[in-house]
Amino acid sequence: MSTEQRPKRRHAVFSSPLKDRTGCFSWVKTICLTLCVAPALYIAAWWVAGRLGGRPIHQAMLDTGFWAIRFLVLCLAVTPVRSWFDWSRLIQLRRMLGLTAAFYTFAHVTLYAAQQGFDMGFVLGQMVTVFYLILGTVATLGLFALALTSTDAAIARLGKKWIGLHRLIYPIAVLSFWHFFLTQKIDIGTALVPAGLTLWLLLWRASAARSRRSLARLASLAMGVAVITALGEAGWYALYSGLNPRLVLDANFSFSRWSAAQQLTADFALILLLIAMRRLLSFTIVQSR
Amino acid sequence: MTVHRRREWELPEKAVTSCHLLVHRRKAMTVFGASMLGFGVINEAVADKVTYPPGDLSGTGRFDPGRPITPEQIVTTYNNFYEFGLHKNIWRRAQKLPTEPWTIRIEGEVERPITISFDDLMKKMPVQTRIYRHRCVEAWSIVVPWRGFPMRDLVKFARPLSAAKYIRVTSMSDPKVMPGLSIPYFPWPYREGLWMPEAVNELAFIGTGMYDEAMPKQDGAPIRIVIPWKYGFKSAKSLVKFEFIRHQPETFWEQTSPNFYGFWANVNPKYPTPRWSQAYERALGEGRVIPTQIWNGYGRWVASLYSGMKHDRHLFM
Repeated sequence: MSTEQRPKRRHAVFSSPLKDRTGCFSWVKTICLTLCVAPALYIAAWWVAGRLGGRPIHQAMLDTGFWAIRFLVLCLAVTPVRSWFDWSRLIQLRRMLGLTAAFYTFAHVTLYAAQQGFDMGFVLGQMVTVFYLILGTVATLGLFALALTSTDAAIARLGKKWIGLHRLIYPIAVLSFWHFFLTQKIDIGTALVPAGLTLWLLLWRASAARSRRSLARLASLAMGVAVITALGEAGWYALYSGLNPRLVLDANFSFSRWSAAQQLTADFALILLLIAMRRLLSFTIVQSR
Repeated sequence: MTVHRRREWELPEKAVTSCHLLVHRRKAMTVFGASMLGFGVINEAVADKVTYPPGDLSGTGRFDPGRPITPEQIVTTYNNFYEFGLHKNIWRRAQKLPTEPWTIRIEGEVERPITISFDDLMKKMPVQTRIYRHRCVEAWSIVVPWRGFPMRDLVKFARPLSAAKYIRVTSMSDPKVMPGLSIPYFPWPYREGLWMPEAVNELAFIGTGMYDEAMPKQDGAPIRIVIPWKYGFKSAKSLVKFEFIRHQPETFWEQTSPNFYGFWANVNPKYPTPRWSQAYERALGEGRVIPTQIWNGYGRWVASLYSGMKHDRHLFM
């Protein structure tokens, strides 16, 4: 009989979204949680106020789907943003953002079923036969698998396999965007902006480690993505519409309305400016010491 | 003075809007709104076959839609009107559309082109009510009590020449109040068209009001066409021009998305769009999905128009 029993370390299945790893209250996580919940409250408030239009369930379904995509992009942005801003603590937000994307996806699919009166035979039938719904279904199942394996306990149990499994977020993102694009009736601008941001993040990840810190590199990637977005938009219209792709390209040089490439350029410029300011600040601090 | 003699097939006023909707409409809307909040979800179910009444050849049941009238609240808050935005929730924005005064141009192959104010035109037209099923290409449908007059009366008034084979209608385009017009690659203004035999068919209607009120702006005030056997995008809104022309006109959606939407656009469940099926439709407000019917169930009045034509995808998209 052993006299000494080593306490086995238990990993939590649920950990507080308000506390950091050391168990202390975290302002960053609390603010992040608030921002994650805000769109849901906003949609609910609009629903109650009757501002979701004639088919509120349908509108809420569309809105939650869009927010799922947005949080997916934010989740993918954590690693790049950590690096750009030398802000390593940001990693503690990644799980929350990923789970939020999964929650909005769950709401999105549930509202879709609600719209069909929870006739699950019909709903499941559609989800496995209509092409753009198949894409969404596979992405949803993948995202749920990642959400379920996001607990400390699952991370500990899966060990090295966890990273491999969670790299599935990239194909899931591709399927989600594909689904998003196919649900647009004619104007794909709404889907192009988050898609362009994601492409930028992925291209940054794919660059050589030594060039990742370079602001010039990041700026040239941004320019490349803006051009790809403009060409992609015109190409989509050339392939799938009867509209003149020249006019679609020309719209990028007009200011009557923000085109997708223009919106992306503004987003990129803002992010690059913030990074430059951050670098300048730390440089000044180092100099003054 | 306009003396309006009711023809035998016209509906008397009382037969038009079901009483509970008309008298208790506000209450009905409130109850409906409340049910959408909590329990509306539960009522939705996928239904099976619906048979529309064939319609008697005279009398009040002539165009009986065979389905309950859609709550006004839905018809006035769920709208496709791309000039105001590419989503359905545009009814607030649409209130900015100036509709008074409103002038309409009638031109092309007519004896004498004219410009007439909406008010003057209304004085010359036999106003009546029609309850029609309306099937959107996006696979939802509504039942609307329209007010207006038969399109054939407008054609008669325009006095077209024999060279006129088609009618092209043009919607208002006012960039000051219509943000959608700032998308420069869309073929604005919105144009639609009909073949002359379609325009003088007794079902073809000009809508100037609904639910016994003037036409709401989001639904195409002050004047629009209502073509119940074709997909909804054919029923162009807020019209400023009727042109009588020799050749089949190019239309907004045909130019924008020729793989999806054509000139004829007759409802047919057998011809899906490249992305979704047209076999079923969501009956808004009824909480059910029902099978779509060829010619939107109006074959008795319109199928013969197309008897000499090839019944392929071309005729049904």
